[in-house]
Amino acid sequence: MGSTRKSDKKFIAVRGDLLQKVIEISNRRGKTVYGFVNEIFEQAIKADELDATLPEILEKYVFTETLRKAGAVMVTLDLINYCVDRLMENHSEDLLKKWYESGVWYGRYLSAKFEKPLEALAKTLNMYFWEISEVRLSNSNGKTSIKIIAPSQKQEHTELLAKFVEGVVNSLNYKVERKEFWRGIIILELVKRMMPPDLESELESL
Amino acid sequence: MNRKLLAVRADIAEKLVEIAKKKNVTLFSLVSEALEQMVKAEARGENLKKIVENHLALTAAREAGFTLIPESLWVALVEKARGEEGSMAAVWREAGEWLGHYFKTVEPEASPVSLAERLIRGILWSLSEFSISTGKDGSLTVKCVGFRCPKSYTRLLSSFIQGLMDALGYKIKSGEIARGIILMKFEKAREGES
Repeated sequence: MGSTRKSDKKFIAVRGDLLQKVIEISNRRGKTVYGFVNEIFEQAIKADELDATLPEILEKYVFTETLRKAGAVMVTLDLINYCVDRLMENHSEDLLKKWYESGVWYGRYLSAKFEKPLEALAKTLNMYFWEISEVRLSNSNGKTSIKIIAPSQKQEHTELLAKFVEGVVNSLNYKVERKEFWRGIIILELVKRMMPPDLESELESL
Repeated sequence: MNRKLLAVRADIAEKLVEIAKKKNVTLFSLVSEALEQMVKAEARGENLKKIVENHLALTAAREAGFTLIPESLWVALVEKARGEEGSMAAVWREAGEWLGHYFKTVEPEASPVSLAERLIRGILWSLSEFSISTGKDGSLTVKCVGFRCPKSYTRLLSSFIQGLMDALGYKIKSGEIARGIILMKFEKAREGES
């Protein structure tokens, strides 16, 4: 008693404008409206089972797509740790340079893709480096600070990550005024540059 | 606001009512949110179902210990760590196996081919081309192309695929690996073989 079969139907109220869109899209796809809406609502149920909401999943998707298009790849953390640990002994300068360069490129990519690239950095950073548990971006008195927390990270990895972020912010036209890092914690204080870095260093040398 | 009635499968409607109650929102707002997200996804040329599947694959990859890294950095690391391919390949194989077992557990009704396809497309982002086809004898052929992958990295990707297929009940029959190209044939493993 009271059990529903898959063929049973119920009516639910929806916004008229959204229903119109549903009809248009289902027609375009050659599906029935009934089949199409069931498919959509099944995804909402699946999202709930994954302990998420559809807007959260869509937002994450947009950011991971940004990263994928920026040339991110998925690799096991064990392997990165293994390689970094071995290479930092003899090639630390090389690696730090590579991380910095990669950050510069990513910063350029973010400024081409987003209106607020620094905020996009804060949002994408813990998707890029999954061991990051928190990224805090704050502004006060014309200064911007970024705090990054990655509790399980090793010292060498934090150093590389700091270099990467430095590359990003430099290419976003910020000057790093203060930089501190300890194992798993990075704090950068930034000031917006008034002129390009090369011109600024020329002026400073005068 | 203009409201209209929409017919939905009764079991789905009941589940939505439950979720709305749990989240303390109205059914109307929950349903509007789902439809809005579908419209947004469509506007991006995407499909909501694929996006949710992709989310599941990424969440599982994260649980399996994967992380994202700029490809240029990863290739530089692999190239510099030459001579360590054996132990690195074992880690990739294990990761593939873990994901295969994980998805077999959470989606027992999905076929090995659809799971392999979703996981390889969803996780191995370095591949520009990928296909999996079933032969008349039930064997599976996996073809992958990743133009920017050096040979050492291509080998790691093939180890991942081998581990994944192993977990999905297939053993390798033949394989060809060249820089950026993987061509592997798998056959169904007999009981206790995989």
